[in-house]
Amino acid sequence: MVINNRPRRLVAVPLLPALCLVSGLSAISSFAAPEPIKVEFPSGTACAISSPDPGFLVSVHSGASNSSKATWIGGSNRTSLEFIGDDKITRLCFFKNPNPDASQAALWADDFRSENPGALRAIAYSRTTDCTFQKWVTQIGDKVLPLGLLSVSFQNGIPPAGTPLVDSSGKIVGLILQPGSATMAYAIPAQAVHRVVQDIVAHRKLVKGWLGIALSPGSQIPRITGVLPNSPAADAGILENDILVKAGAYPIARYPDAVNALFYTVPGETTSLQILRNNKRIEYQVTPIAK
Amino acid sequence: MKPSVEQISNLLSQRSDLRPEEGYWQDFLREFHHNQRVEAASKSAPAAFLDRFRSWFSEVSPSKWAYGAGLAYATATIAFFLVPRGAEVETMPSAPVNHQVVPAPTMEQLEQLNLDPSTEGNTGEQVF
Repeated sequence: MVINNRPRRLVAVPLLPALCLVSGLSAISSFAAPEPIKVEFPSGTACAISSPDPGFLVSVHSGASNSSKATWIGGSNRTSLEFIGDDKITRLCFFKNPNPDASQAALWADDFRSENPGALRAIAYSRTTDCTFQKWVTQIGDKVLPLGLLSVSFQNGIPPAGTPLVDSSGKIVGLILQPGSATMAYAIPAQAVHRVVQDIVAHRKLVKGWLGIALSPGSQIPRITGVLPNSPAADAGILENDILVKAGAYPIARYPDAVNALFYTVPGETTSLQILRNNKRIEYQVTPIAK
Repeated sequence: MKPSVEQISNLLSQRSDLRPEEGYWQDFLREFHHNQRVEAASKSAPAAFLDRFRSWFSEVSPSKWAYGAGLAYATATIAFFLVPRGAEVETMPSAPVNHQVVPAPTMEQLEQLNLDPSTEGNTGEQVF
């Protein structure tokens, strides 16, 4: 037959990209995958998954209802989940994990810092969807967010809140928060989940670090408009009109960047604050307190 | 042929008989001026002015015209250079101006991740 006489090389060349894609996807699937469960809140259903602490499940509630009442729906079985605590800022809520599994907790990435668009995969309890990380969002319109979110685009529908997003290495880099449009959703980064679960374990609520510096949302430059007396910032030597350049590992260019960076300060944990004063960069070590 | 002195004196003596009587020329001048005034009064004012204008200019010789024109030209030139003038101001080309002033948006700080459009944040100074 004519087809059998065709050289194999000609067939293989156009198939090479497809083979690479398949091998790449199989590389992702070779890692342990998150195993989300379906939970039902009074306001609707969502995904829940093992948190970085294997003793807890983490989910995202709508904020419109009581997040303490959630039911695990597994097939025809309905099991009430034991509420541990929630955080009003991030809308993350935590429940006792009926099946603690350390391998699931190990799937969490320490943080997600990519600035470039990249492929991700959303693994919901019902289906898996390819999606793309687009950019960081620290401000929507004239509203500055309390922490930076991921903007993720979807081609075939947006999965429910709490759905984990995994990168090419199979690590969980974020949780779906809510849709932003028909093809875009906001997601909470992995580092925020780490930050909140740390306090949920210790205090059953998020305890933010307090430095005693004042900033003005109206000023796009992150200039310190005031330093409260006897505050950690005053004790460290930070002055009014200093401009924040970096807090911990987070570079700061605008006011929303400062808000995002300061979200991750932990009471009692010393962090570095880099400021600009008289065109000189000065770094201070500051230990936030709980307030 | 030139007349002799005697012939001239004879002629003059004959002509002396034709002289007008005493006072004739005074009466003649008085009557002449009287007629002039009557004639002037009968003319309209513009026509009289025009007559005087013509008569005045008819008495000016061409050389005086030249001197006058030269003097006027020199006066105009000196005046042109000496009269102070204001600094030249370049006028900007007219361009349409948008007079509608758009106020800068007021930034709000959200306390929670409540992304509902109706959610209101804080606009004042934030302490961290």
